[in-house]
Amino acid sequence: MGVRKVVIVGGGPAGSAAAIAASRRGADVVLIDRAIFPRNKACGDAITPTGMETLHRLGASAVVERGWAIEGARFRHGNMSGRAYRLDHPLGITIPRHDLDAYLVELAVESGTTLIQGDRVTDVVGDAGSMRSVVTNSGRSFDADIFIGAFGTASPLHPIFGGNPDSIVMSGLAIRSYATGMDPEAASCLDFIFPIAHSGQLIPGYGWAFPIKTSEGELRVNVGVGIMSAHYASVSARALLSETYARLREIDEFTRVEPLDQPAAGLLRSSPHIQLSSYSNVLFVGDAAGLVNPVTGEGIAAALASGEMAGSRAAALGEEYPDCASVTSAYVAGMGHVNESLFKMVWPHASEPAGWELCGVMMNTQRPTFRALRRTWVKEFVNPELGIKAEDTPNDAVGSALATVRSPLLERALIELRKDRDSPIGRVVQSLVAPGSVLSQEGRDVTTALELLDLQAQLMLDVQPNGSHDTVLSNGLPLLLADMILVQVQRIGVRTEAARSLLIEFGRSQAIMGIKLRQTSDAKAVVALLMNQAGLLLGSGMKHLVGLGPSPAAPEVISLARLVGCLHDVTWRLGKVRHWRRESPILEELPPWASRDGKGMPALEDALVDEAKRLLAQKTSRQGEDSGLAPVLCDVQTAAWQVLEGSTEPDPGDRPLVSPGASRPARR
Amino acid sequence: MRVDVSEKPVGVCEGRDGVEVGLSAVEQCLVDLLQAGPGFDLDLLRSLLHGGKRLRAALLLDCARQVGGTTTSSDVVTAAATIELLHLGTLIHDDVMDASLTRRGVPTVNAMQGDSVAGYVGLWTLSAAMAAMEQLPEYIYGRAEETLKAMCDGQFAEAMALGNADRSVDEYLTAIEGKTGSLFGLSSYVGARLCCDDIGHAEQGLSAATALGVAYQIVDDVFDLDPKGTESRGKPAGADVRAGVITLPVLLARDRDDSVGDLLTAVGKDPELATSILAVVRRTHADVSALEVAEAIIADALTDADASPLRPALSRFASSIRAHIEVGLQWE
Repeated sequence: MGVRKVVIVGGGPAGSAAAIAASRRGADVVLIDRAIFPRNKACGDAITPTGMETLHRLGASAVVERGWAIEGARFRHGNMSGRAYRLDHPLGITIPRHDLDAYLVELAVESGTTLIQGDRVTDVVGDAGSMRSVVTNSGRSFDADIFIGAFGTASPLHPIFGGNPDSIVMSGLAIRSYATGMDPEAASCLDFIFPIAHSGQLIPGYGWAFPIKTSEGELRVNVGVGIMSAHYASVSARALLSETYARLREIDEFTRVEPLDQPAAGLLRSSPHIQLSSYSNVLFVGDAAGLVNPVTGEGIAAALASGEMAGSRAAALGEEYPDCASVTSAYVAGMGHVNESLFKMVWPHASEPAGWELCGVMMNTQRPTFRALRRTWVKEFVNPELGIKAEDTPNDAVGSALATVRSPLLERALIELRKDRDSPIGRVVQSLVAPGSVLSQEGRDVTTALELLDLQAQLMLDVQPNGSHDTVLSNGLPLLLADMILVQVQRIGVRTEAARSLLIEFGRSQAIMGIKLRQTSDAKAVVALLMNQAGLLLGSGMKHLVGLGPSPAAPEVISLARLVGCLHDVTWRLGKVRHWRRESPILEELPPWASRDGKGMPALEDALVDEAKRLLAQKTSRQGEDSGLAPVLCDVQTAAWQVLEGSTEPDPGDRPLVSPGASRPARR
Repeated sequence: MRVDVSEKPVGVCEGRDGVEVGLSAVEQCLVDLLQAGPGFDLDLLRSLLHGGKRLRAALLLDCARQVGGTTTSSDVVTAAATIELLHLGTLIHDDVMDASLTRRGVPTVNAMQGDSVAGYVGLWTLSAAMAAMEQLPEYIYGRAEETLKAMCDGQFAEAMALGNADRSVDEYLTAIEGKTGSLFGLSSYVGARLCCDDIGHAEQGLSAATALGVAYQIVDDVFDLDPKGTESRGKPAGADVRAGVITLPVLLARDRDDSVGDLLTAVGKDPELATSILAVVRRTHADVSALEVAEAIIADALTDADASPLRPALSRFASSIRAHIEVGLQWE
């Protein structure tokens, strides 16, 4: 076989990336697009770090330099001003598709691609299983060994190229226009707006306002809205966009925002797997392959990656790959699982309004349940580059118990919640195990049950006294998760009676303490109840470990374990209260255990300080310390001293995502 | 929202003396179980409990009797009371999730005491149920665990589907099988299993009663739309529609009349539109069709259980649902 001939239809990022990659590999490449570049394209114009990497690899670093650097993201919900997240590396860039696409097409031509623009492919010639040529509007015909379909979403060419439109799983719609009047001070963040609604009904999707620089160096803002379900295709996209503008103008940075041009809309189609053609020598890339992120609607990164992959594989036909079938399988294998995990993770919730309402709530509250959800969300969807790595998924008993929770998203959130809590339970039990010996199955079960119950207690505390019923899930979700944990502990109780007894005892005592907690507003009494709960959990845990672990639980050991549990809890809560007093703009958003109102916060802090000091001064018996708990006690004591002296920055929970240097406060 | 019809269904006591005697023992057992838990004011819990019909307990007792058990034996009575407590605990949590203000004609715990107290009261009730379960044979616990998981899953599916006008009939049926059907299934299973060594009978009861529970929920969902049901059910008509819970009659109406989709989209902002939705349900006879679906499910369940010794008990439970279906059909 001589030089491979590759015809690429569509000159968006996917087609150009394919053309660049194939030309560099020495293929004879023709790139056909119906438009004449530069041309406009409806898009959010934002490129993620993954997309930037591909651009660098393609030799398009100049376009990255030319783009507008984005440092963070802000999530706005309802009337709230929104929370900002800044990252310790750039979140990405924005660049008008008008400029990006023209630049990439030019780069393809420089790499040796023949560009046919302003001509539309109308038909194909092929026979059983193989395509021979494409025919254009002007009557020209281009033959090739291999064809790449890069014609975007919902193109009439998709079925002509052998695509199966029924295999697209999710479809949606996005609309945007460019605007002026954004506060330049705020122009380093992407703004996301939740929830979106039409006639008062929540709609799955989000609004956005992305700052962007034109090629003339002027600041603009790309304002748009994306809907994630076909059902809402009947909703007027223009009306939604107007509503998004109206919402934006209520925000300080956008009060003077005015659209500059007519809105442009596009369809979003997404599929868990790469779309394949019935022709053996046709590859689909980018949106045409269904590679739009089903949650965010983002598609440029996947377009660039798939284009590069398909182009380089196609060029190696006859060398590395004997036939078209092996090119296709190399391409599919190279792309990996694409959107499969996202679909597994959120489907079917992505299409459900309640899921998106939840999203809005979780972006703007300090409540631990929602904060954990938010971290999961940001890691998994908004910026997958921060994604939870395999090793972050706990491989322990608690992790696997949580893995049976109904929704993978909730399961991840619970894992996050547990990380945040950093319970001393595991260490306490481990310390009691004589060196060299292993905890029995029952002992492990009791430990797992203890950790799960600790998590459940946190979730129960996260149910606010008087539910804000503007969102049903606000209190329903923590409660439902608490119930799900109850089920997990119950499951462990099927094989281990001690875990069952623990559940019954702790469940009832916890409930009684919780009710008392809600009926008192005296800070000292609140702290006493919280300590009671923390001590009870570890205390009764130790009791149930009697005879199960290799170490006997003498009364001294039980009381020392209680002390460890209380000291850890008081330190953790003191850190939280200090953080909220300093950071939280919205006092009523605090977990209900903290205070009924802002005025109670100083009293609560004082009570926690007193309690920490009291616990630190507590005498411990010799026998207790000999049990092996001394090092754990020493650690919690040190942590308590540090927080008391204010020498540590208490964990704000969202810290892993915020770079201290770049940190700017969220607008109030 | 989970099933709750407050008036005694037609025919609940006919020919079931053993069940009646057992039920009064269950009442006593419930009083005892609740007394074992001081520490907070149980009056709310008691008044909620008082309004219940003990349908699950009755089914359990009746199934026990059909396989030769005694409806007053300690295990059977404790099991029936335990299932009622499980039911009560999940009802209290449901009311928080649905933001319901009344139930069984009295204010809900969340309405009186706030969401967080209601959460704890529910948790206490569930823990009390599990404590009671300790007195029962080991295998019951495992089944109860699976049931509670199914109930949570069903409730979760229901919560995530709020306001989803795209919801399919299958998704609806799966959700109510978890949240409502599974506990009826457990009742029949436990009744049979405690009094008979043939596990096959218990398994048969489980699947038939689960299906009957689904039919029961469908009928309840139809009654939710009945303006005349306001007094008897202790909650206002159309409460589900207003809260965004899209149930079978509404799903069927949606498939018959295009305007329903738009109405469902708008009802979140303007609850008064619920009346229009109810009107379309009536006009398209979607309520009748939903009742027919329930009837078909009942008929299938009873046919499947034809050879089962539990059949008479299942039939009696089915008759009580059918009595409601009859009432519903007479609205026409």
